[in-house]
Amino acid sequence: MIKILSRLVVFCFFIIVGAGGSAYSESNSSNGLTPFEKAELRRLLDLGITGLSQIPVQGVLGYEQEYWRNPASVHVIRPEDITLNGYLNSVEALRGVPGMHVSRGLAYDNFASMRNFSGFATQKFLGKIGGREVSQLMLGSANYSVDDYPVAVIDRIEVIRGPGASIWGTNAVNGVLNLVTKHSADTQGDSLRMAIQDNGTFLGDYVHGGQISEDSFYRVWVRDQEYAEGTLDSGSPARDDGHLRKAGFRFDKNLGSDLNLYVAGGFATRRVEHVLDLSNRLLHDPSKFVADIGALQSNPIVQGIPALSGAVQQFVGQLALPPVVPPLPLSISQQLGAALGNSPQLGILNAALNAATIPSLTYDLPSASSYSAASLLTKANGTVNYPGLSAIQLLSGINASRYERYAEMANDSAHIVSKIDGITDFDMEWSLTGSLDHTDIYMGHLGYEWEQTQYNISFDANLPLADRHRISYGVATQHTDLDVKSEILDIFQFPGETLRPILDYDQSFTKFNRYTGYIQDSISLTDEILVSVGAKVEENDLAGFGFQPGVRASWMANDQNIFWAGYAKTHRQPSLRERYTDLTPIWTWNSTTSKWESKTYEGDSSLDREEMDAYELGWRLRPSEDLLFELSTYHYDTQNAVRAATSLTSVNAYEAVDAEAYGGELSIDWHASDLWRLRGGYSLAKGKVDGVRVYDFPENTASLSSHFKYSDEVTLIQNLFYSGETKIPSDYNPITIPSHLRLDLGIVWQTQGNWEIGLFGRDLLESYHVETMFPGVDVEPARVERTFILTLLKKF
Amino acid sequence: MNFAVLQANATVSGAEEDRKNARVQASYMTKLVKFIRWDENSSEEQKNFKIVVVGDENTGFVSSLSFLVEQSNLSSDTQFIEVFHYPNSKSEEAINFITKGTNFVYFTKNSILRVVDVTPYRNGALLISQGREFVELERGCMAFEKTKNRIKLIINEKCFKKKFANVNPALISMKSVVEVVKPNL
Repeated sequence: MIKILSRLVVFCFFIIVGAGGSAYSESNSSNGLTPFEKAELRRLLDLGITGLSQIPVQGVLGYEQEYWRNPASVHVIRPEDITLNGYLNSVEALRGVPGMHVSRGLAYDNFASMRNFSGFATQKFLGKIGGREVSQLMLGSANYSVDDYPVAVIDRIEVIRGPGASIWGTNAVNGVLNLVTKHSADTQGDSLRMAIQDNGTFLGDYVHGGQISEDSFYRVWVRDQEYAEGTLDSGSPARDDGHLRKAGFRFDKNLGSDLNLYVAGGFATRRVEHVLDLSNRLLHDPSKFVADIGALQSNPIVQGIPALSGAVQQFVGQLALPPVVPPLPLSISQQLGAALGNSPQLGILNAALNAATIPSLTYDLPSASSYSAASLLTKANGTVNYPGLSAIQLLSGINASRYERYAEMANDSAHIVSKIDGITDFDMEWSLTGSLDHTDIYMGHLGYEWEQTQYNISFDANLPLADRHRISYGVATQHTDLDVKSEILDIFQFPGETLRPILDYDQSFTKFNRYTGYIQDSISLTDEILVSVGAKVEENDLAGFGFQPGVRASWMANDQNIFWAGYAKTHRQPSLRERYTDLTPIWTWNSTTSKWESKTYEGDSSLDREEMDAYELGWRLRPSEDLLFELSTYHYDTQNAVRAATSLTSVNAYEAVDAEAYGGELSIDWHASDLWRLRGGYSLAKGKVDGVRVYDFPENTASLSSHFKYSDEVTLIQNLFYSGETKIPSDYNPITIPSHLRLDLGIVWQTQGNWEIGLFGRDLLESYHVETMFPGVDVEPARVERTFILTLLKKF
Repeated sequence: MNFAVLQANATVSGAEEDRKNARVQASYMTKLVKFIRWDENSSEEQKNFKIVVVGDENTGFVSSLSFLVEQSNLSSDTQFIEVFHYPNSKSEEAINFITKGTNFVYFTKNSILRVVDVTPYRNGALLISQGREFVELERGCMAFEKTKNRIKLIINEKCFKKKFANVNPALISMKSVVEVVKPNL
């Protein structure tokens, strides 16, 4: 890493020398504007008078993400980046952001992770949508598909890679995703968007905005998304059809000079199915059989009869069992038991043993009445690869039965958020935000349900101090109430045993409080150097007290080159799943005790917060207003990083490890002409856990996007995405996701009257590939298939 | 290309805040064009929309305005906008040019020309500058004012009664943006 940074510094030095510019020189701005300023003017040109009146003259580092001297790695997605590329929702648009890895699972799932070491399920970045923090305390992640908005109401999506400024709240570890919605006054009239895929997946939303009085506006919207069933990698139906329906509103009122209020709310309901892989959930421990064989070999009676001793040795030789045989999937063990039962060799051996008054050698299996055999049989669906036993010769050619338990996965949520903001006479900008969220998530496949009600209040402000300082500060509090229920699944009913659900939440922990505060000073040290220094403090029921300092700086070397650097110490609070939920995923038949025994991986209430030291360096080069290069590098050093345990012998479901992640992103945005815009990005990401390389994030990703205006009405779109190989861990069947290259082509016809019609072909290079799956829950990944999409958009 | 800058000698210097202020003002100017209706006979020489900037400036205002005009004209099939800049050293030429007919006269903060100097020759042009006093004391038509870290618009109520140029009432309905004031007598 140090080598990389050294080379970067040297490279940058030569670039600056090569550019030969001095600060604010005119060498490259013959008409007195720097390329950065020209690019900003283009953006201002798109604003109306009201929008211009909202532009702060003196900015706060970390607030205005598109400020070219912002010392952070930022990518902003505009609504047209979604519609012109044929994306159905916002998450899909993240695929083009360098440093982000978006992968499609089932029809309704898109996984987003950022800058390595996100692991699965947990998303180690802060998600804010429409002014609300949307990450669920239970899983430490958000469902961005459910929380998404119609594109017509989205103003922008800010993707800040890295911890960002001190102004961001808890969990802004790997980055921040901030979806900002439009003021109601900017969504007046009617807007309609429909998209239909050739497989039947449909998305439609409608937005209506109106004016109530001279200074108050509103909008209402509805959305329906119907998911068509896809196909698993093996060709089996994915059973991932379902629907997501949403509605929402926003009301804005100007309460007076520089005093504004908005109230927004919405609800969503999603009904889909998900699977639980049962193939490895019921095991048989053959240790009694192995021990019985060992006992026979050392039995003095056997040893005293050479013929019998020879028969035993011959039989043992044929079995070729290792000294220790791990618990076997029940289906494998049953096949093994049946084979042994029909084995003539065992029959002959047992006859000889009986003749010597020694009991027969038997392979004891659980009786069908000791577990839900009939229920399990209804879930059988072929066989599944079980490579972990391939070393045992006796089991060669025996496949594990594939058992799948499908059940409803429901997600119902509602929220309301209100914000009042103003500017005082002494130029203090302030806002007070309150929100109430209620979510009810039922995972029928796991027999687990939680209802989360969350209350948030925050106050943020910033004000100038002398000529060169702007102080930002804020306080926030969050209270969460939880109601968690578990149920015993049908296949985990064992008569006479103490039953356990797969996920069992510790009901002692259902109320959580979090108090945070921050202060940051944005300092203009010189005309060329900006610095922000700040810190967050936090008192949290999940992570205790924490102090998170950060310093960031940018240097405008000349009118084309900006260098920036940042250091931050950030915290991520463990999720409730990690701390307080026991996991009992496996039951094993013990032939010695003739009982079913469960294996529980406990939630670890001692899991401390993750603490990360993040170092970043960046370079922004804009040779002209039409061309922008950005290079960002990072090195993250994390203590107590929470990872899913990888060993069946682990005590806890999650464990704290030391992790290291480093890499960088390079992006280019080139307006090659008035008709043609090219954008591209490349990301290199490497991660280590306890010094060992991990591959749950692709080492190399790249994208290239071309928009060519064939005429005033017609735009031709081409997108290429490359993702390197990833590995999905599993306790019995780890899967390697091969690298894949995706090509999307599209044509968009913008008609008069603000209608836009698009036709897109997606994943055109191959009929399908796979991208991801939930380890331990999914049996296999779903196909991401070649798709054709027709879109229709009526803009306001 | 349908704009002209007779003398764009702005240097890229000055506090960044002032330059940002200038960029936002220039952006406002391109929007204000749509909110003013000029009598067709107000000037025979007006085929294009003319903005004249008088006075010295070093915040990039003229460059910003010219750049914006170039960008917006490229994507517009309506009336073209032209930008002309006369620094203090060319005040006399500025008066001559204004006499021929123009739409906006923008006074920079350092302009030696003031409203009283231009008024006799303006032929219905709207006079605009920065600072509330430009409207309240000098009786200019519009002024940009930096207040509460934002740029707002101060409009002389008499602007709505001009003979040759009318400000669209829709502009003054934007209360969060515009403040209408009476000039001091």
